Amino acid sequence: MEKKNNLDEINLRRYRKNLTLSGQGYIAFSVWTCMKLFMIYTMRREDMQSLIDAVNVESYDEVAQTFVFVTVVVVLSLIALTSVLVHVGIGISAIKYSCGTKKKRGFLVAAGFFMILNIIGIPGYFINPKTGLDTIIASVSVDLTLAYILFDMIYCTGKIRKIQQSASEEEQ
Amino acid sequence: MTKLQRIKEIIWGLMMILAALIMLIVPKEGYDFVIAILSLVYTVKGINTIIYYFTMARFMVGGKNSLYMGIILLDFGILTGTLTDVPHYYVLLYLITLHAFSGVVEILRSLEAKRYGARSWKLKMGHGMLNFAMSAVCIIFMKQMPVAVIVYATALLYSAVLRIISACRRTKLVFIQ
Amino acid sequence: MQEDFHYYATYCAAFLAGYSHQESLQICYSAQFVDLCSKTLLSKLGAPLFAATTQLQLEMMDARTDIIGLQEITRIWASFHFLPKDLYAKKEKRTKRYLSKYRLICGPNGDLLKKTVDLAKNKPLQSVGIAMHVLADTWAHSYFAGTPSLVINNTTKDFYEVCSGPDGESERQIRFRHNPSEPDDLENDIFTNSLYQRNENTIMNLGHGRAGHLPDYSFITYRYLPAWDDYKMIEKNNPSDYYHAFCQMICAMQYLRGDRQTFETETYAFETAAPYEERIRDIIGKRQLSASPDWKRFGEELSGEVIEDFDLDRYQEEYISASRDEKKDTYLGKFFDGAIAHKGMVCGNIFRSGNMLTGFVAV
Repeated sequence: MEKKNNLDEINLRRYRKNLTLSGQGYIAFSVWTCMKLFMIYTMRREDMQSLIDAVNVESYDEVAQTFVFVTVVVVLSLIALTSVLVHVGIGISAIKYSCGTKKKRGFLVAAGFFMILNIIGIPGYFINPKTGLDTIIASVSVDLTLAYILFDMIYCTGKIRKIQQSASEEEQ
Repeated sequence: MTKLQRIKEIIWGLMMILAALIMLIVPKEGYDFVIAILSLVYTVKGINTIIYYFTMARFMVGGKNSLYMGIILLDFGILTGTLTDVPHYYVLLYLITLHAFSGVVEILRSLEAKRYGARSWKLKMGHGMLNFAMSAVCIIFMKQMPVAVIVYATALLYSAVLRIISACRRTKLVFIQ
Repeated sequence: MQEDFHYYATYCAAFLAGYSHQESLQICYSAQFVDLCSKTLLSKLGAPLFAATTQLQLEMMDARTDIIGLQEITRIWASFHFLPKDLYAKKEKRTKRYLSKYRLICGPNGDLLKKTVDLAKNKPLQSVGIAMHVLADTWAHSYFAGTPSLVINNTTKDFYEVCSGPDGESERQIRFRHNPSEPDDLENDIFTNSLYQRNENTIMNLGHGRAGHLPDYSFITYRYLPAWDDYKMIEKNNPSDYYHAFCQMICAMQYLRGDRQTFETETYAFETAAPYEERIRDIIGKRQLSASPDWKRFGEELSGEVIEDFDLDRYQEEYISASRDEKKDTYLGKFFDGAIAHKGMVCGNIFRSGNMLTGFVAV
């Protein structure tokens, strides 16, 4: 029992659990972001209208306009779906690493990239804001949380590796 | 319950009754009101969950779940408030699911109460049937937007009355002889 | 703990402590009755509802989890089934809200245990039975709190049974399912537990629901990760705990009979149980859902008398037919008085420690 509760074992449990939670959290946020985009473009008149205005070309007839619009929607949906799949992939990799079923840590590169991207994007909410303060606060909170999740992912992976390395050195 | 808590509960109950009455009097405007209430509920839920994380869950194994859930709820709540074109089918679907599920749970509880010989089973059965009736009304009158408002307002009235009754219950005092 | 320990084992402990067969029967009936005295039963009897010592599944499903409801739940469960070990426990960097729940964690040999036993001194046998139930549960229900709390009572899927064999100690993963109608599968280590619910105050997070019936099986030693202990694993050695509970019950009842001057925590009547230790440990260690037949056989061998099976209706007619003034002198009347006194004592102590989870208590 003492071996189960030595500092290394306790920390290993803590970081593994946190890594699993980070992975799950990242997947949840990715799915939510996708749903949010869907809700914005289907249930907010001005956003839908701005999309329609952006793709409408007056010289086209109605059929052509509809075709262009549908194509744009499909392409945007595919991009959103791909983005979600990439994020879900990062989350799943983190969960697998915490369970010990994955050894490679390549997902950390993507995690680091998206973390920096999130942080860089935050000031953009305050420059020429198009939405109210409450929406800005919510969006900033989401982005900060995402950055925190990704940071936690990287941190916990590093700590797990360090503990495992020192444990194998001790055994040798 | 302290005096302040009782006052808070009663005020909250009265506000809910007022909101329900407004919705019943002007159902068309009431629909936007329903969306606004849903938005407020989820925003408050999100904030509460975040507060819960910082005061309680961060000390718990796996507590970070609460933080992530809180942020998502907050975002959902605020987003709902900005939506201008929610098809009334979505709201009706939400109400149908909610009442149908509540109805099933209440009826199961009433059957269990009857098995134990408890006298409260009839009341529970009544609640369950009422919930089912609300679901049925939503389905039958799905094409008419005011139905969502009327159903929601009725449920709000019922909750408000229960809240006020709860606030007026006496607090137990124990005397050791 | 279950009927096997609360009824039959308590009988055995009472007899070994020096009580007669009839006295032991009254004590053990009272101890088991604590698990059945619900508001539903009390309203059927026309008895004071405040004497409730448990809540039925049905009552808990109906229980509101607003402040009043939570206080009602905590008053019952913390008083009779999850006696707090240390109402003044300290933990660094915790908020007051967290500490109020943390301090209700159950454990053996706390200050409240001594007060529980002292309260039963010079009281009817029913009070002795109530005290023995509470004492026994402090061992079985350790590390859980008698209040709905996700942050205290939640567990993870890291549950392992510790098995001793010729090759030494090994661990077997315990799996949980959420099907209360199916009995626990001891052979394959599949047990029923309550559903995970994120809500802090839901009934699913009351007591040891998340660990299923594991704390109530005397034969099992297991390890798990509780929500409150900073990622440390806890090992729960039920065979050892149950034996300690048995011997502590004997010690407490010897005190209540007057054979000992005082009752102190961390004292056990090992010497009284010694002649039967092997037999008792065999019963405790046998892998079975209920040890009632084995405890009953042991008790009947000890006393040479027949131990009647527990019958919930046994004293009900006496209580119902008694006049208003006579009710307090009936068996159940004395039980209700004892339960109210015990609840008042525990809730008073919780209130005085600055914890509002059982509400306001006037003394």
